[in-house]
Amino acid sequence: MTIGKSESISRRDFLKFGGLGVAAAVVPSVIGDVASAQSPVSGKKLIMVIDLQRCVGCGACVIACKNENNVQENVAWASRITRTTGKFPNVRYEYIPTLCNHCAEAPCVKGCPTGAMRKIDGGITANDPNKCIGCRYCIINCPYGVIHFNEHEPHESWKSDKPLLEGITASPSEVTRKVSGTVIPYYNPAREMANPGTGLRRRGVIEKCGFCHHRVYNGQLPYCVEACPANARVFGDLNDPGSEVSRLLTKFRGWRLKEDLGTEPKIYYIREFNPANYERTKGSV
Amino acid sequence: MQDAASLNQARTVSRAEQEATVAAKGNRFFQSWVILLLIGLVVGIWGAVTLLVKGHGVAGTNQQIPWGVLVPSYLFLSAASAGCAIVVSAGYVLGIQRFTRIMKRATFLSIATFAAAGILVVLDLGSPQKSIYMLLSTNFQSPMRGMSLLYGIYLLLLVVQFVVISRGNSKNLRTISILTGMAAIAASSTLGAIFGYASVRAYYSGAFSPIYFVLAALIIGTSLLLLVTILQHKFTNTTITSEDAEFLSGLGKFLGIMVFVTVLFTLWKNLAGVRSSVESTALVYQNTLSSWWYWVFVIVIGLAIPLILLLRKSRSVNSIAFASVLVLVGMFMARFEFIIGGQAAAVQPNLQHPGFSSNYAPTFVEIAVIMLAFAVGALIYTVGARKLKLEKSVH
Repeated sequence: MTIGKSESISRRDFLKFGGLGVAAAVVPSVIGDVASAQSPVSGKKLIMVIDLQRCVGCGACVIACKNENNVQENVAWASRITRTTGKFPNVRYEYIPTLCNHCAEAPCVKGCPTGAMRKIDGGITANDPNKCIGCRYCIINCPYGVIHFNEHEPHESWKSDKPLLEGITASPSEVTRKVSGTVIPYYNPAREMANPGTGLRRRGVIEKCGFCHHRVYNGQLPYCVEACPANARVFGDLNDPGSEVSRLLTKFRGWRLKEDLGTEPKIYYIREFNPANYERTKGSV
Repeated sequence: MQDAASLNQARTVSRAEQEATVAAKGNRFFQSWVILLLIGLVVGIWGAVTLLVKGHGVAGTNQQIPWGVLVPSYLFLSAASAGCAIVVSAGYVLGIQRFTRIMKRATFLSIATFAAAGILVVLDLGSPQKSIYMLLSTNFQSPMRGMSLLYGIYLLLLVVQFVVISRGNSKNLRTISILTGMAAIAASSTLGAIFGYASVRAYYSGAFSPIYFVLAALIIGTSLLLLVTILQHKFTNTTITSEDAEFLSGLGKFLGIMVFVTVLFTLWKNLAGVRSSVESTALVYQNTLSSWWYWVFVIVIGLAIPLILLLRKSRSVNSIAFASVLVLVGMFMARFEFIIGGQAAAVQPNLQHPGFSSNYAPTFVEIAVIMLAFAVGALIYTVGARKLKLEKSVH
């Protein structure tokens, strides 16, 4: 084949160069994922056991997650289900902390048209804002309502020129300028290093709990686990029979949310929120 | 003798005057049509730019209801495109002679509605600039990925079909027509699978959804085809021959049968849903059945009246056109109810999702974007109808 001559390109040459072109576009994205295979949690099945008896419902996990990941206003990646059952004086209140279940059979991963939502080492379900087109199909598929779509520009309030108290406090934009202007509050460089482009939240993509994989891959616990004042959240490798989580799930019967759907979630709950004591009677007929 | 000559002259003049009046009326109507489309285009472009620059915060969607009115509008237009292609392809392949006269027009109509649908699907994405990653992805177990591939193939085949028809090359037309019809069925059923695969949302009808979507495509496509064919006769003032009327009547009867099947689907879907032991599912059906617009638009306007009009002993061309309009309105509302209904009950009530919430109303930006899509589709069709000799028959 001679380039530059007026004869048209042959079909074979077109296919050859076309194929090379497509491969050149596809291979980097494949290598990107393969490279993450050599992490310290390779081969582990990372789960979280939440002890509902130790949990007091303080919500520190919710706030800590927002702190670590600069989650914007009106969004919470860690959340909770609260339920009040019965009528006074026979009332039961439950507080069940929730987060992404990192399902082994994740419907969000199966449905993602770009592969932005994928499983990475340790069994973590990770979202990639660099590939996410914001179609929200994962939100439709998720049975647990833990994925969030960033509709608004995150942290927009920090661009505001209105101070809270005129003449007394600084305006948000003034504060942002004073910290060299380009740094949005709570920017976490650890996130950026683990997964470029995720240091800041951005509009038009979906985001969710990532099991703090930027910490986990460095041997640290997820931030919500660290922050819990009652040690109610226990993290570990279920594949290791000696791990704390394996021991807990042998000692106590653990349950998971919507197990019948077959999603194989990784957040196990043990014990009960309510006090274990009650009046000792044998009942009546 | 002079009287007879002047009388003839008078008659000729008056006939010429009549034809001129008709032509002028046609021109005036055409001008108003184009102005309407241009207004839609301008408002639509404003809407699209606003949505792209400011993000989905300007839409009525929220954390619990991430898919708003843009999605059912896209479903409606893509169903129109696919359905039109399936009907015409089936008719031609089965050897129904009259389809040869509308095939070119119908193919172009499919292309125009597909372009409109494409605008909507791109604008509904949060980050459409990264769409290339969808094309590079190999995750074909996702019906959304599958749908984009199949619709791409379908569009290619449509364009090839149109070129083949324009060149008068009817040798290959039969093969291409079969392929186009099959691609349209594959694409529209995969579109249904997007919803059917979301097993946690029982409202999306699971395994029936792909089949229901093909049925919806047939209905919407046939109605649009009937409407456009009849309106074309009206606005070019060509007479509708008795042959034409018979064909339209037959197609109208086919539409009526499809509407009847939809009535069955709707009836059983609602009966089974309302008594569902899954509380969130039952709540949504109860909510739907107690909303007045569902009864008015989906049931009465969309199904009941067209059923009566289309399955009578004889159908006039005007009543078929009217029934088609009603079906189109009803099917659009049915798509809307389907999409919102599946999201109205939170899968898991938590901080972000309070529980049952059907609080979704489209904002003007979303309506403007829909206007853009319809205006672009109509504009493409109008230009094609004027320049591409869509009335040419296939041999």
